[in-house]
Amino acid sequence: MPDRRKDLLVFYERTRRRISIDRVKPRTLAYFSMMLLLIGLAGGLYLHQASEVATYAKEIRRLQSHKERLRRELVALQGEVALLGSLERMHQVGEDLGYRLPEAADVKERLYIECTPTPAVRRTDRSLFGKQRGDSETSGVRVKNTFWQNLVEQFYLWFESPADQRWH
Amino acid sequence: MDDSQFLGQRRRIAWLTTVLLAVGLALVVRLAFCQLTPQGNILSFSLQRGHSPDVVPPARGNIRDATDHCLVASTILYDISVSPELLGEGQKEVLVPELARLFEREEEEISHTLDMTETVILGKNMSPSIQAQIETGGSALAFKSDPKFRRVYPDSTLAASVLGFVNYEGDALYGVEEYYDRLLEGTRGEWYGVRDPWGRQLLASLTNYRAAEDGATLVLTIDRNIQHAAERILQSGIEENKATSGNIIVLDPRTGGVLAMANYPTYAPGNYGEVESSEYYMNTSISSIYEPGSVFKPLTLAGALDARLIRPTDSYDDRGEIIVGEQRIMNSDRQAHGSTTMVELLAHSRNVGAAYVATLLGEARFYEYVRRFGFGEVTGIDLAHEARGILRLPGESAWHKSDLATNSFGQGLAVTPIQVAAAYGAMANDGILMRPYVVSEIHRGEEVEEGEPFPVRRVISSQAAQDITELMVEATELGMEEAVLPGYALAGKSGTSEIASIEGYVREFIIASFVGFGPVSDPRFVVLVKFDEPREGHWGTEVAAPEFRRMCKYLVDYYGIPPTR
Repeated sequence: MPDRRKDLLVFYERTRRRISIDRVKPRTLAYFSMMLLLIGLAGGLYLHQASEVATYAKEIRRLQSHKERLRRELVALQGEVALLGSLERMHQVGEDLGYRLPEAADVKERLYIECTPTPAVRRTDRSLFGKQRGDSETSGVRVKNTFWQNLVEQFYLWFESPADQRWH
Repeated sequence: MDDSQFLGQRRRIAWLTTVLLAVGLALVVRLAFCQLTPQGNILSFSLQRGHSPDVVPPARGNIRDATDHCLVASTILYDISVSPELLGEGQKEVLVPELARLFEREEEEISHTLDMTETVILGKNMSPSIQAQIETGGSALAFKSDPKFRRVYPDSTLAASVLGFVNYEGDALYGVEEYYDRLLEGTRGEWYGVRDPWGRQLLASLTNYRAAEDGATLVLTIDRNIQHAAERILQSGIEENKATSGNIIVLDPRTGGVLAMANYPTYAPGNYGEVESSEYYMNTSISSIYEPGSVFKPLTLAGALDARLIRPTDSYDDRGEIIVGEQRIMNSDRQAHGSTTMVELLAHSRNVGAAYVATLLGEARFYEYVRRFGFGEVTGIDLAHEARGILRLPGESAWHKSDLATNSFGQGLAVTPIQVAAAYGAMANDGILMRPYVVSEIHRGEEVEEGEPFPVRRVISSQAAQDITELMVEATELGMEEAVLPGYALAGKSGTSEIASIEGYVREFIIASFVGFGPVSDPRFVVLVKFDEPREGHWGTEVAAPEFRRMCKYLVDYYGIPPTR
């Protein structure tokens, strides 16, 4: 009789000419069944996971394709809007509506409204080198500086970079 | 049965058990991997196996003008192909007239195409509306639409040489397109994922999806209305004077922003292949050089005024010639004019006077001013292929002492039109030279980057700028009536230069130009008008000054600047 411990066999069978299922020990059968069940369970779970991922992937892919299609549509529409806004078409539409290009002489009758300019102008709107030449002359209004305006002016002078100062 | 047989059986069973265990273990490990780690790892497995991503192309950024209208836009166009074998019975007869209408082709031609067995391209660069009609039609399965981003130019040739174009290979060439290519092209999107057995990408995680980032939108300082007017005036000037080519530049002297840059001849960027030569693509306003001629005289005088060597009221004795560097310099009319004021010098464009002033300045100071006005170096305008011009300086082997005199009235040196416009801009802008630029804003998504005017340097004092402006206003009214715009004070100077060839200057071929700015109380624009080889006139005052006036008239009308006189 072979020594089970010596051969490291996981089960032991008595010596017979053939092994038939009815002669397999219930313990062995249970063992194999459990193994198959576990493997089947593991495989089933894996397949379930994979199919779930594939389902979501398909949905995400569909949404992304839709998004991409909408993006293309947006780009195409922007292109169409640009084409419709062409200068030639604008002039034609204007002419059809009875408009004409203005002339400087038309502005003689322009209504001037006196207003105090906002002191906090953007740097790009303002002359980089302090007050723009002829600012007050062109506006047609000589504005009397208030205390705050003077303060802001002083701040701008102080704020100008050394490079700006060099040019004065 | 002996022991050896039992042993063999047991071994086989042991192997089977081991294999089953190994498979089971592998499945368990794989399952644990799927369950416990982010799904991205599945994708990284996929990537390690060398799957290439699906590419999502970005839309190239649009280019808009200062009034926020599109000069260049991206759009989607479709290459539509058909597989006739997929068409059902009787469908061909129905489709033929419909397709002929959509693709603007003969019915016979369409019918012949549908009789083929292989897939055929029906139309390239078809509009989205046509593609939509095909897609919604009853035989959509037989058609395939291949989308492509394309550039459209709503105003056809408008500002073509400023904009540049994108060729069929997708390379940006010339102008803003080339200079700002990296900003405009955007970033392509990529789509990594596991592929199905048919090779189609299955996205399994958003972490492996990078959306395409469309290119930035550029806002130009160019105003399409002014640009259109400049091109119209240039075109009519070319035809009236039978010139070969020409330029009109309109600058805002306060900022250096280019309001218009018209070049002739021009081309349609949308059909860039339909030109006789690639020279049409060049923006000659920045890349072609020429001898400026007498438009250089105010710059010489400005230097002398700044150096306090002359006063606006000074006079000089015009003897009709002056010797500088052993070379005799004469007036263009070969006459002596006696006592001549600075205003008369400019009004009648006296070469002797300009040379006299240059000798007062001396070599060092004269060339210092020439360089400070920006000649001999690129202006730094944000457009591709800018030339720097040719300026010989004292000490260089090619320089001769007589160059001091000839350079003072714009001969013997070569400049670009944009350099001249920028230099006049400095006189209009209180003596400060601004760097010309065309892009004022860059829009990247929600982020907006504003370009700020860049002052290069102070060239002349504020007083000198004011003095030279007044001199030019008086000179324009005295000797260049063609440029005078009633009601407005404009400062300008004409220039006529002969074109140099191997044999020397050719009197028949001239370049006529006029440069000026206005209104002088608060300069809003610098205008440069230049015509090459005009046949109908021989002087800048005859050829370019009237077009300068027309351009200024348009500008004061456009800006609504009321007359002051």
